[in-house]
Amino acid sequence: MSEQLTHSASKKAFRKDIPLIDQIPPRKKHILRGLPESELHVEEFLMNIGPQHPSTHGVLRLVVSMEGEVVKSCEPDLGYLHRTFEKISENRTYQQIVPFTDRMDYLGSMNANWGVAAAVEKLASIEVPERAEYIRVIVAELNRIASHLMWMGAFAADIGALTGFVYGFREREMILDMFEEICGSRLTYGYIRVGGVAEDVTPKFIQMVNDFLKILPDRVTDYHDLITGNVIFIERTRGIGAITLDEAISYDITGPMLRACGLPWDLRKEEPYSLYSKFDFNIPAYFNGDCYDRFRVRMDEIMEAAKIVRQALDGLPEGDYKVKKLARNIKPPVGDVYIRQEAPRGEYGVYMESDGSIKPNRVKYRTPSFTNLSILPLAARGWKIADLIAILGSVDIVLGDVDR
Amino acid sequence: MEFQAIVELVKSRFPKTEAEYDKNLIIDKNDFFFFVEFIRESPELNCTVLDLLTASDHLPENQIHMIYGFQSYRHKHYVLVKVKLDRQKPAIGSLTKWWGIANWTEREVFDLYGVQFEGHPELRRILTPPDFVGHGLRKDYERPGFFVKKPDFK
Amino acid sequence: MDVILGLLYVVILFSLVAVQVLILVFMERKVSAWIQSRIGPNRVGPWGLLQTTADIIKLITKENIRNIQSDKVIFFLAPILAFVAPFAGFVTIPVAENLGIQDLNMGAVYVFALGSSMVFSVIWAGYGSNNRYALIGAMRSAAQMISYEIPLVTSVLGVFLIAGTLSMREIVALQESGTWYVIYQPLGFILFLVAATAEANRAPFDLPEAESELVAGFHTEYSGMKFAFFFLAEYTEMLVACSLMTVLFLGGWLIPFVDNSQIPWWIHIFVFIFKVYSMIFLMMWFRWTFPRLRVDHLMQFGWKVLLPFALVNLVVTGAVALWLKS
Repeated sequence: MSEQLTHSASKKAFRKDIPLIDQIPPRKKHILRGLPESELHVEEFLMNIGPQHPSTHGVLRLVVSMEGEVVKSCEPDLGYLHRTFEKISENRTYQQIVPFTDRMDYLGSMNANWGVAAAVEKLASIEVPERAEYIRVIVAELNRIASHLMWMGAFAADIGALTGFVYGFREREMILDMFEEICGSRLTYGYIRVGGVAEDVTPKFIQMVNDFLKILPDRVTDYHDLITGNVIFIERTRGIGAITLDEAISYDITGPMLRACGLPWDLRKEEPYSLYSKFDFNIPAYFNGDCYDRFRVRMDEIMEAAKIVRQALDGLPEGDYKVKKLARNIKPPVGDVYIRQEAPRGEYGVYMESDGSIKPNRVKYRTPSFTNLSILPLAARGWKIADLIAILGSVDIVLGDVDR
Repeated sequence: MEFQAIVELVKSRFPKTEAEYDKNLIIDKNDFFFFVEFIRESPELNCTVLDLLTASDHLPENQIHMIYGFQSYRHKHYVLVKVKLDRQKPAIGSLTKWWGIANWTEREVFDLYGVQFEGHPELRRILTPPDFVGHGLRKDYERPGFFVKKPDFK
Repeated sequence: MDVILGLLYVVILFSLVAVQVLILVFMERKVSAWIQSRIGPNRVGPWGLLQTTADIIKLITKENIRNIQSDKVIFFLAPILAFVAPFAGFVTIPVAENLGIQDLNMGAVYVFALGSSMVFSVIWAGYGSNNRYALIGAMRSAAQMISYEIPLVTSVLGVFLIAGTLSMREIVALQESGTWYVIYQPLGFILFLVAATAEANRAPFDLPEAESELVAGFHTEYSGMKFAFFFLAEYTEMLVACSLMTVLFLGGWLIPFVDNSQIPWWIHIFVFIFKVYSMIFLMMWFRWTFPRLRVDHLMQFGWKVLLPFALVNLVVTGAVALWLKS
């Protein structure tokens, strides 16, 4: 089934400038899944990783049972960051929900805002001005770049290359400066709101984006030189934590993790929302489903997102940046809506149910981190403890997004 | 596949099916397992992905709605399915034997709504602590007060 | 009289090494900052020079915390041994002609023997602190140190074959008449550099304290002064390894193409320090550039790559030396 599902266009590897690495045959997958029977008497060694640990990316707790260094089973324990956002959202008006989503996926806040805004707009049939949509695309894609850069740094640090961490932050800092210029905050923006965006973009912002897009290709080439081609890095990631496409579909893996398994499924392309049908961009995909391919998918996505930002910036029309007259309390008709968008970590869905009052009856955030993390017990089994950290890093979780 | 075609196809197999808001299917609880098998295996629908699994509480109607989102990567359509359960004793079959993701999402729904999933291998709380009392997302859930009740000195 | 003189030497040596470590920590921070396009410490003192001093004061004044289930004696002894072993190695290293505490005729063997005893301190620390991260770190460390000990020693045997002596001072003196041994033994030098990096638990071989997996490895439970001793030990070990490299391969205090007997002794000291610090810079460069190896890769690399090369190097050197003699 998986072969039929793969897109024919992606049969050729997306990046052509690293051919040497592609020629190395991939390691045999799942070689360690079935653990060999040990002749020695080995005792199970239970280790608790987290909730306070340098590489659980927040407050995730993993209960790992090991045989020597080999992970026998790994049970994630969630909920340390559960802040009941779904319950809070039921007790707020539709406009008041937006700022809470910043705190869920705090590395991709723009995308998180956008999901809720789009859901309310669809529920209440609000037309958004074209300029606002363009601005949304620009900031969402910039945020995708920032999130992937941050991930690259954190992943390199998980592998042990601490320098990559700082390099990733260097460019992310430039994007944060841009966001500070348009909305005044650097982490929790609340910029994309129901009916448009909070503020119009300034000429300085456009200048900053232009400058950033100019230097980005050089910097990404630097990262490829520093990390992608490094022998130790390849040794640590190639074939590690490989999952098949069928497993990925069974566990509802979305986003870069799915695309690393060989299915170039991207909602921006498959079900184009907003303005994405207007832009020309590619969906990078690789086939091994291991940490190395996840890394390459995300690195390629940085460049693709930059392409979209470039096009959106060139086509930015004049006009309003938000709906002029919007009711203070929106009262959508009875009904429900499910919005799905491609966030940096995968498919971000907002299910919203209206009972005709000013507050929603039910808001469900289908967050990519939660579903992507669910494959960790399967993917990590049989690998070493160092690989477990690499696999966990490659999943790209944000704990605020997992626990909500 | 368009929504109308899906509705007709499903209705021909499961006559109790209703359509809601021109985009959702409402399936009878007794048909649900067969419906999932049908939507997963039939070549026209082939929804191989369980994309959404959640619930919503409808206190006035005394119902809990299970909400399932099925995605087909091959036909590129999305089916949102609702199943209405009794609010007092909500129970439905578990999808863990078909989808790995159902393990966690069903645990989440059990945690926050108290829906019993029959056949789930380890139905325990996932987001709230194990000693949590009640189900947080139910409309009649009342938060215990911040302050410890004063001891009665009589 | 001898005892007093000996104690005096120890005190002088200790203060010298401690100052060196202070400088090294500062250098590590500045080098890493430079590699990572940061600024590094710049607040305490001029150019942040006093930052490490402030850190040491903080560590000394910190409360001494001990896990209640830890083994008291072993927990206490581990950091002491960790520091004493590499520190004692300094005794035989000649900094300049006639400037070194004691020249043993078995100097090299003495240093390597002390380096091997480092394993005890790591295992004690890991076992004594009753922590699972520490235990795994200690086990890794023991495996790593024992496996890299062998290529480390084997790679320098070629030098001893050429020199025909084990005394450090004589080895340096022999390099004055001829050339540096790095020319004769390029493979040996590279092997020694890699094995010494592993022996000093420096990245990319810093598995015992792999911070992304094991928090801090074998010294997870240590804090305050005891942690400072481990810290001190790591840098002292690096200093010893680089000094050995300088003495055995890079001609110690000698300046090439110059009549060294004409040059005053204090310039020799600076030359020696310059060479040692260049090697240390190389190690720091490794640390801040490479990702970390995995434990099985590390073992494979040690046994399947380093050791065969070291043995081949040894055999070829011996054969050539025999041939030249006859």
